[in-house]
Amino acid sequence: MKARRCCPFGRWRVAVALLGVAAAGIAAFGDVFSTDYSKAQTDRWRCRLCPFDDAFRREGSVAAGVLAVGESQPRFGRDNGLDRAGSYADVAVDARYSDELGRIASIQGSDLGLDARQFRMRLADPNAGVAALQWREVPRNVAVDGRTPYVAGGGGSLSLPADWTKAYDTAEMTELGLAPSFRLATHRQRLGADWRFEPSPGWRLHADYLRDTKRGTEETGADFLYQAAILPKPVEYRTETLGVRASFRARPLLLAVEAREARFANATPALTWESAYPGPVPVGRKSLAPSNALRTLSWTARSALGRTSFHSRLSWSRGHQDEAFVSGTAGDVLAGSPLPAPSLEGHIHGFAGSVRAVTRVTERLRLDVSYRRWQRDNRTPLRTWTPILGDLVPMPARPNRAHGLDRHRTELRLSYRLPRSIRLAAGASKAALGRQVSLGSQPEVVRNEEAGHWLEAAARWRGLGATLKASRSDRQATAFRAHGSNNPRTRRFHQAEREQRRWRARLHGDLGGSGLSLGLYADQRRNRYPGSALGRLNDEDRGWGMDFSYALGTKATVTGFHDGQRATFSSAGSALFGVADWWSTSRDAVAAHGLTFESRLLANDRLHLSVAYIRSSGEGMYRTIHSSTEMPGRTSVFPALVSGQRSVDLTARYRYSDRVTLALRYYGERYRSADWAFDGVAVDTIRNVLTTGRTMPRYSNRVVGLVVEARL
Amino acid sequence: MSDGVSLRAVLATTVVLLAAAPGGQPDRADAHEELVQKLASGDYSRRGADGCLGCHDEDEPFPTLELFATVHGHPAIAGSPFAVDIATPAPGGLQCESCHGPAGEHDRRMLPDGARREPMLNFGRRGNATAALQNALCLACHETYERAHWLGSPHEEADLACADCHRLHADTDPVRMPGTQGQVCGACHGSVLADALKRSSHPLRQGQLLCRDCHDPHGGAGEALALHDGVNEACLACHAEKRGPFLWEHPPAAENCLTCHLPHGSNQPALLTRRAPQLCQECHSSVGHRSLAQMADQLPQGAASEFLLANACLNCHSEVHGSNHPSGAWLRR
Repeated sequence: MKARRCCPFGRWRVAVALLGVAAAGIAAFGDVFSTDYSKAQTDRWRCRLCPFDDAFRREGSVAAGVLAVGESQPRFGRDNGLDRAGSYADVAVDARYSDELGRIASIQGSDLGLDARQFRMRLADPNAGVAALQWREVPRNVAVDGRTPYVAGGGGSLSLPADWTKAYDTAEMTELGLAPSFRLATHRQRLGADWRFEPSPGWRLHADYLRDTKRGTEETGADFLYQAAILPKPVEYRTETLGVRASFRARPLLLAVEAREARFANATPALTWESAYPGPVPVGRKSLAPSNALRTLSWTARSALGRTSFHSRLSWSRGHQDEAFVSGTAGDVLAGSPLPAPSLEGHIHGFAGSVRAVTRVTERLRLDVSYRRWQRDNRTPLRTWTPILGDLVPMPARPNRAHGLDRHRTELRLSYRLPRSIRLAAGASKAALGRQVSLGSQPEVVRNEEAGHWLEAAARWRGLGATLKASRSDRQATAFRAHGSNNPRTRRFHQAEREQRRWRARLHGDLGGSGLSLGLYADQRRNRYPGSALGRLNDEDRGWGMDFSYALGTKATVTGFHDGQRATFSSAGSALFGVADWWSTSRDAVAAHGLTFESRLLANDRLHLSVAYIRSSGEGMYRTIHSSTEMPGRTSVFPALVSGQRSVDLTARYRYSDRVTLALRYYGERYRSADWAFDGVAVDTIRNVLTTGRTMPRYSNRVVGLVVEARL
Repeated sequence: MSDGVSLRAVLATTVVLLAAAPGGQPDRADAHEELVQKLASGDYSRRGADGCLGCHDEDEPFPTLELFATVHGHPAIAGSPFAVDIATPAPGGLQCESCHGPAGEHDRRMLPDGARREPMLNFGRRGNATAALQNALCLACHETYERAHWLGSPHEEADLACADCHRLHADTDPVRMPGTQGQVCGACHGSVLADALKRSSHPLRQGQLLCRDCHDPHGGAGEALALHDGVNEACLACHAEKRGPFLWEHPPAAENCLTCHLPHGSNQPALLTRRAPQLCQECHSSVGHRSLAQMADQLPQGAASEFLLANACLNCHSEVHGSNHPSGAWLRR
């Protein structure tokens, strides 16, 4: 397969533009500032007042205490590990050591008693460099109320109980309400290490290693034609990444070469399940994520010529996937044709490159030119496959689908500085995306081109700052070629012609000596797809918000924020495979606001009090208008999707002595949610889908903690 | 914000607030020219830090002496402003003047009546020099690989100074600490913090995922300050199971994760821009169930639909990121 080459301005024109920028720079002037360091007569500097003893220290603190959680609620502990009722150890450590030889060691750990523990250790030696070790755990607790009759047999095998009653309707199967519940959760553990060393002035070597393991259970759908089941999928992933880099710097030159390798391994590459339905196929098997590898070699360079600075980063990658295929069907009902290859031999040759030149044409005028290219050249061999639909129906032979891309973007930016910190900027960009043409992935739109321009004004004045930016861009699509079974009036929105209009504004600053800092922001993005008769017709995002901070004297501060966002999508469809006969609109409106009060009280600021209240709410509306001959103008409004959270976080820290501090924390959270796709959908509600019946979370929960912090 | 809020309204508000802005606050560039001249003069002090710390001690509102608990104040670290008796290229070893520039006449004990004390370069939002000058002082030592693309990056173009995010005299720098990094970034990117409160989000609130895990604030290799070469590379660094290549690819997934997902938070499940089946039907419209309008009478109270409820399209087409099964052409295996 060969990617169609595309370059919006043409390579020669880009090269000429970059040279032009360089030439302008050569004719210009020197650095932001210049100074003569040699004039400093440091031999007479004694630094008698410098408290160097502060630099040589062995100090640290340990915090230990207990957290009590009121209820077992997975969403409450989704990311923090506090998902079960009961007591947790709350342990944290922070210690540093440094000596007269410049050796520094530090250890930081937080949430050490939870599934969300983090730990970092850093060692620095002037002669051996800097080494760091990091451990991070990331829980993801989703639900515990989902039910499944499937029993994991190990090795990616799910079976049904021996006395399982098969039926065409889930309501007639074995009493599903009594199926055991399962825990829908994953847990990541990330071990990272890195080392940095400067063998000689200007040179720097860097190596890093990361091992990320993810274990747990996720959901996946599995079907035999129109009989489906949601299965508990075992997750046992491991990703290892190793990187080495060498860089050299001698102003104004900086060069770096970096090599990285990432290897992903899935211990369960396939999942076999027993059909809960009667029928000719008793067992199914699906492929799970295949193990893969990616190697990347990068080159980074920066230099300057006159007043022009050049930056480049070029990155070549080789992706590889060669997991052994499972057979086309799991059972022996239909053996299917022999596979044309035992594995994919999948190869991706990637390239990501960016070059940029920044020139100060005059003291006030600056010109930036940048060119970026991102390529995914899919070199996976094309073979002919005969897929079996639902393990039962052989379908026409077809080549595999291998997708490749070639994306370019060129941007020019001109900024001019007026007196009094006013900056005006304008820019134009041209982008192109070419899709790889192959028998397997004949794209409907081979190439998109997008041209855009923008204006920006920014000012700082009397302690206030304001920024306003407006942009527009128009995306064109090459001739549309109908392909496959899709309605030819449909334009897939990521390929369709598009008109985009955006603006954003921000105002921030300190209001005189009043102690009040204020920020206001708003933005809007509108997309219209003028060539689309079916599919997405338009969408719009809006956001607005404010934040403030107010100092009540020297000992108390009040801060607050409000943020609102709204997203609207409109699309059209055709049930009769003709012109549009139904339209849908969805709208998400979310808002969040919070207020925090912090104060230092009592003599010598012994008591530190903070109270934070945060409230967020989300609402999703969905509406369909169906206009067929039989039902003209029939409107269907779905129940609102709801998610809302209120929380109060109260912390009181009392400094009992110079070495001991007591901290009392209360955190209460109330969460409400509703989703018509899950609420009221029990395991057997849908005739031909065996769901897990999990419901949307609703809870009020709290955590109380008492911690003693001791300085060592 | 009502539907009627427009760019015009925002412009009017901005103009009114700017016009009503109280005086008394210095502009960042107030002393810029004078400071550039001072730097050019190379008029460094005769006593070094001893001339500074006599006034700028721990009674100051700004904790000057805390600097000595940091690497910047360590005398045995090469390159540190306070490096002593160790080979250190300038501006290292120039003590306070490494960063704040030559003292000139600033440290004169007595000033004539009415005379203004010569300014020193101050950093941060209330600094008295342009962000470019402030940053040039920092980059004199810190222009390493990690900041190779700072010039021309969105933060640099927005006149952000290093000290707007970093605390230099403090023992700990909040933007480098997992528990507080989000707050520092959120001071400008407030809507991203709010995204973390949505129904589905990455674990940003708890500091399990850091802004820095995906973004390079100093000028990333990819768009939107991405730490990686592109959006997909950033996502696949953690979600490597979706990297492929697959036997049956789903082109939008290979093209751009953001076609379907919002990275920070969403009102829909799984960080989706819109949910299935609506999202899927924006592209897929062949004859049969893919083209049918989904109506509210297909909810559990009516004829519960397999195309609408639970995981909707994903009840069957679960391998939306690509399938490696010989029969996975429809992303069902």
